[in-house]
Amino acid sequence: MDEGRHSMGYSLRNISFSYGDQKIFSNLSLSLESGQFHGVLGPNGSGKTTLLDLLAGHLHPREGCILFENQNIDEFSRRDMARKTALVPQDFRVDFPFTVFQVVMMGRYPHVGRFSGPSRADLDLVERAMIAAGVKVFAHRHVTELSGGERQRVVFARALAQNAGVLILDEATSSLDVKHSLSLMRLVAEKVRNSIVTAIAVMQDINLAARYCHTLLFLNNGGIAAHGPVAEVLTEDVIREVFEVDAKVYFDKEINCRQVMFL
Amino acid sequence: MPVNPDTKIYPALIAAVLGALLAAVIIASAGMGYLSVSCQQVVGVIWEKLLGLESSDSLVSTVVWDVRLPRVFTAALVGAGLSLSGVVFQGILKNPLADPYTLGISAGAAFGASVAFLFNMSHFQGLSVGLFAFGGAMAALAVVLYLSGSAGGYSPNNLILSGIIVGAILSAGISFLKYVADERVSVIIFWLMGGFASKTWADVTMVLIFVTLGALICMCFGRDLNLMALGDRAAASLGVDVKKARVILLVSASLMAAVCVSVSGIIGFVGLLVPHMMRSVMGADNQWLMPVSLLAGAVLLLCADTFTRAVLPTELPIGVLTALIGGPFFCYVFKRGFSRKAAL
Repeated sequence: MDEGRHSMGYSLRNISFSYGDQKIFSNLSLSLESGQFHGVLGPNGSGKTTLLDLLAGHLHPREGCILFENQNIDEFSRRDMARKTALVPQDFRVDFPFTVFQVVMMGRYPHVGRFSGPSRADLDLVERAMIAAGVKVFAHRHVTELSGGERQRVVFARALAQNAGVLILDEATSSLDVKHSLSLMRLVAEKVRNSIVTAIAVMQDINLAARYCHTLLFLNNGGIAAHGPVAEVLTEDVIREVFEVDAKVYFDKEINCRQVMFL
Repeated sequence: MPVNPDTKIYPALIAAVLGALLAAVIIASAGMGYLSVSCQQVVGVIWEKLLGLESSDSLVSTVVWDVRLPRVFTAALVGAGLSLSGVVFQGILKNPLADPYTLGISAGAAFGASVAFLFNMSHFQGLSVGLFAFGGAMAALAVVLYLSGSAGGYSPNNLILSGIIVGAILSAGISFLKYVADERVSVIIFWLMGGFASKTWADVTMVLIFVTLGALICMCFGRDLNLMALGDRAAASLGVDVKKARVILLVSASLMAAVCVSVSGIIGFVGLLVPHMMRSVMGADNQWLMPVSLLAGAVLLLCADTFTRAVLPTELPIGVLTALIGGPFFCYVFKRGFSRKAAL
């Protein structure tokens, strides 16, 4: 096994996790290579979001350990983790009139001292992130006035501005229209291809995941139902086992990847 | 050209203007009252006292330095403390309708003060009411923290619910104390309405220490408060220890509110209104909202107190005045905010 490449990403070793009495994972082992686009799929309540929180270091396993860049994840400070991983959360609600620019700027907080202002480089990064996410045009509007999809793009821009090596997306395209979903996924895939980031994305849209991700991880009942390259794990049997629906999996020549049609 | 945060000049300008305004209002209100003193004389008295010089006019000096300035400074500091505390509470609870009293601080203080009045305590040179009020506020906060901490990490909903429960129980307790108090009930009611009459330099010192400390701590966490407004997960992913930051901010803001209440009684609407007004003027960035609200709160409450002391024919309790002016004004702001949102 190519230990060198594996070790730079994540390695979860026999981890268990539960919320109170409710067991989410028991004895889960998994490795996520760096430099790849990982899709995480599974039915509601299968532990997808919990897995992301463990990877981002917000939650800690009861048993077992998580290695990140060859080190136990607990050894990183919160600020270190914030510089290395950026999370785009699922729900985003703000009741205070921050401007879009202010919110995206918050992505630079882990890099800028508590009382020092942003440097020119910080401003450039924020600017580029806003352009990439298509929110530059309303940079000075209040986030409270935006639609759900626009807000989600603002949060994505903030994660880009964080400039972290690992991009964790929790259903980041759930409120986006087709055009913006595709452009977000394309952007992430391009960053992965250029070895800028490792992406780990929880997704509902299997076809979108199949098109852009390198590997897919199917979670079911707190366990791994299947994990591997798209071409190996995206099968009718896996879909039936995980989602309890019948589907036809076919190879689409137009976009050159596997797609799923639900029957 | 990158979007420049040079807009920060704007809040800095507001802060500077408010600071100058505060100094002017302090001097003007120290001159206003039954004995009218000119601004030059007020400045003269302050100058003499600061340098330890012999006073040129002992009557004016006594009125300004010993009677009016302690009250003026107490009112300004309480306004500052309540407003800053309001910003922090609204930020932590992610609720623009929160104020320093949402978590039962006021009910706790009122209960403590009522107990002191009921047993007619006058130890420690009359400080016992303030001490009991402070103790009551702290006890209420401790219970609220205990209740909301056990059910999963001080989430805003837990905190608000616990605050409402504790507040309701204490209100019933206050009603009971009033009922038992018999003829002393008027003292309790009067204290609850708030006021700055007969404040001393000791009061000023105490409030100054607490508000300064609280303000410094809160302002250090301005960035974290910004991030927490985006949600706990977002804040955590940007490096904030959400639970720790929340408790530190909560305790600092509560201490400020508690000391304000124990000195002046319950003065409503300042802690709700000032953060709102300032947010609509200069945006939601807590790093600027905190200092600006602090200054604006000081100006506002000092003006209100001077108005009731020196302008009205009879002195109204300040808590009644702030509610009478603040309530309708808040309704206006609230309604306007909604119709503007609906128009978009």
